[in-house]
Amino acid sequence: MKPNPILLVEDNPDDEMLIRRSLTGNGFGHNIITAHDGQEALDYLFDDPENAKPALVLLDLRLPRVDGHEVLRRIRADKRTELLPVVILTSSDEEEDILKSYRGGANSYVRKPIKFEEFGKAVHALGLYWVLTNLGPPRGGG
Amino acid sequence: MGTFGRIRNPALASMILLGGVVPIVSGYLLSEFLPDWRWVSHEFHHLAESIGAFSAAIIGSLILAMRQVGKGLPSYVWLAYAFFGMGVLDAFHSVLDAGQAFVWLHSTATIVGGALAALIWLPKGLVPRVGTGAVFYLVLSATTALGLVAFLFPETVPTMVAGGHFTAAARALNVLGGLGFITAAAFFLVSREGMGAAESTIFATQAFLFGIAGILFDFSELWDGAWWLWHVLRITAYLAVVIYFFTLFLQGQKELQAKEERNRLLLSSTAEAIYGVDLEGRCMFSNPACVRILGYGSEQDLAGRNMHDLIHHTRPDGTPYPNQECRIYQAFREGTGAHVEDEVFWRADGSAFPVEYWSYPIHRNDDIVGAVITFIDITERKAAEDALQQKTRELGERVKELECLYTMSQAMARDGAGIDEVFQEMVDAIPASWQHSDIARARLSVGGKEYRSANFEEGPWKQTSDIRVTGAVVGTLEVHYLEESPERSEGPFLEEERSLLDEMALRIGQFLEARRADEELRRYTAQLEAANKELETFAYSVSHDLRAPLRAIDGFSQALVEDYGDKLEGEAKLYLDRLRSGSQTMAELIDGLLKLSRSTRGELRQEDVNLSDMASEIAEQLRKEDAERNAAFRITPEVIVTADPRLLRAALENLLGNAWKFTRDNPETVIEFGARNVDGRVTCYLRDNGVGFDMAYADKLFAPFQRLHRQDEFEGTGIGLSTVERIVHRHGGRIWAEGVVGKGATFFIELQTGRT
Repeated sequence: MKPNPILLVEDNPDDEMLIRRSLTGNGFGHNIITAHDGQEALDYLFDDPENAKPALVLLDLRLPRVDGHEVLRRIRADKRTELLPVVILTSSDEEEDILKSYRGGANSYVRKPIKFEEFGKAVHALGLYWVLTNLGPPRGGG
Repeated sequence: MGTFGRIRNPALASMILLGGVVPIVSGYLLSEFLPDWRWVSHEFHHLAESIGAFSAAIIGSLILAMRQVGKGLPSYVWLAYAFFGMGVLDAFHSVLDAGQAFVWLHSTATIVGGALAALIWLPKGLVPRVGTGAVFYLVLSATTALGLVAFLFPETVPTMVAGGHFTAAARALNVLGGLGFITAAAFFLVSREGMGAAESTIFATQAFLFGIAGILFDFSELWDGAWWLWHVLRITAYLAVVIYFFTLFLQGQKELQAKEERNRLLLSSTAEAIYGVDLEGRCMFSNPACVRILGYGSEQDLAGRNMHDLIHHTRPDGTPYPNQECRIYQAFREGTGAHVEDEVFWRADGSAFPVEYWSYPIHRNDDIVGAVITFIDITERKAAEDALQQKTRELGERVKELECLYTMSQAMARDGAGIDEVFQEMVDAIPASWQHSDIARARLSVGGKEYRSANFEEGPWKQTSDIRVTGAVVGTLEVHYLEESPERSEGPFLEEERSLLDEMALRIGQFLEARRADEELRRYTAQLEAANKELETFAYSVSHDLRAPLRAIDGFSQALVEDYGDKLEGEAKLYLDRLRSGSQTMAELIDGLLKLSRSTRGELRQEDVNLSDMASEIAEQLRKEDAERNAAFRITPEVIVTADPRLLRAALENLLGNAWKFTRDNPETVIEFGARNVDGRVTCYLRDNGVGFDMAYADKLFAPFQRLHRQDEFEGTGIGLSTVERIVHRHGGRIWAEGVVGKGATFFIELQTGRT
């Protein structure tokens, strides 16, 4: 059985490429699906039942159309996705954004570092932890 | 009802001595020593008997008069009739010459007098009415008839004298009459209520004398000594009684005078005015106070005048006051007293004065015969009362004005009240505060709008006050009276109302001014908030959008090295390193700017912050970063200030970070943190023994992007101290620094509140 994909919600193509590079580098066989804005992410999650349920959502906050906070709110408000691990991956280190994200039910909040080494390490660690180490909620539990 | 008391000794003694012993002894002596003495003198006898008859009539009249004024006893009336009867018969007797009729009349006089006198013992209920009663006329007419018959027809009378001696009939009449008188005399010996001591003595003696005279009639003969003696004694007795009555009368007069004098003094010396009226309302008497207060010359000016028409004819309001409604006359019309204090009396000069009077009926026996009126001039009291009322009324006006101002202040101070609402409420409150509220209307015209009190219309009188905002007239406040004010003498409006109106206009002006200022402030605040918002958005964009390209530069530079490192030659790798280092610096600058912007944004919390603890934590962190360094932190404990902990931490991190950075080349680092407290202001200091700075550049320390060292000496963005300064300024504090190149620097932060 193919492992569940990671849903990357990121509008910046540079960041998308760097994240993919970090995640896939070390034999990380997961499929990475990219949504380029909030709406696309929601469409993927809710519109087509054929879509594979992601193991993890990496969610930027500043997104065109529907922003990250709203996407998080909709994920947590829906029975099907309320237990889905969501990690905020963003440039902001505003206290307000951090608080709002945790209140909204984010599982983790990571600021994108500038230095690539750090960035790569962080993303890789995230993927490793959330997809391989962390025991997700039971299937069909919602 | 005869109350029997002790026998009156003086009366008894006088009676026995003067009425008995003296006549008997002297009669005996005369018949013994002058048995043959005779003096025939009809003239003298006429005279003596006339005096007697006349005296009897006088005495009878006086006794009746006595009863008329209520003196003596009711039974005395019998005595009076006895005297009248005796007097009439004696009068006829006095004009006759000696003969049968002569003796007859004398004898009948004795028997009539004695019999009537004895009736004095009859109970009170049988006493005839004083004055002209039937018994009185019966006595007079019977004795007169008896006298006339004896006078005109002497031959018809019974034989009284035979052979020089009195007949048995004559003797019987005289003895019986005498016994009657003695019976009457006994009446006066007993003390009775209402009987004077003198009159009991006089009447007892006289009656007894008459009685003895009647009984001893037998022992005398015509014209002899004893016979004359009786006559003399009788006259003496008569005269004694007359004299007694005369002195009684004189004494009464004297008493009356004294009483009148007393009354007069009483009336004259009392401060209250007093006058009396008869049933027709005519003045019977008045005292000097009355005359004086009413403005007349003397009592005579009032005597007999109708007092209501004279002093009470018009009511205080100027309408006529008819006689029939006069409350003074109520005293004798209804027999009740009246006490009045809301009327006026009119003086002789036509002026009126407020009066308080009491009117009470005057009773004589059971009848009301008039009224006595006591009054006082209460002008002063009324004036005081009026003054008090006036003051009370004025006070009421002031209270109304205060209420008005209060309503106004309340309306203006209410949060969120719209201007229209405030002004309408105010205008509605105005009429009630004006003296004549029912005809008062108010209008406020301001800023092209009008606010009117209920039922507003313009009236003939109006008061206006301009409303000014910063000196310029922006409207008017008016109060109208719909009709001419009832009190024209005061002018239509009170002075206080003028001040009230001006005060209100002033306050409206101030209110408008304050509202304008508020609006401007709100506008500025809104602008500021919008600007802040923009700035925030801008900062947010900066943090995201400027960082993303840097990440790309760094990331792809790295990717290039990783994927194509073997193909890069010479300085290519070095260039890529410089590329990455440049982006790194740029990222730090961006983060610094973000921190700076954050330090001025957001709400400022105020809580106790322990700066000592905070500094220790930061020091601990710094130590971990470079554990090799020989460094000592000397932190004074318990430096506590009231401030925003998040911002203070940012400031301390900056300052301690700087101190740590600029001492890194020291073989031995000493960083001190402490504070001193002066007048409630805390001044914290952070001292290091680092590279220090030239005081010439002290003013550039806190400017953004200003750096005193080259990047290759000490890295940095030049934003840290700017951020610290902003944080201190946001707390209303002050920051400054002292430094010596090579010796170290000290930063001072003074905060407004706090303690050490």
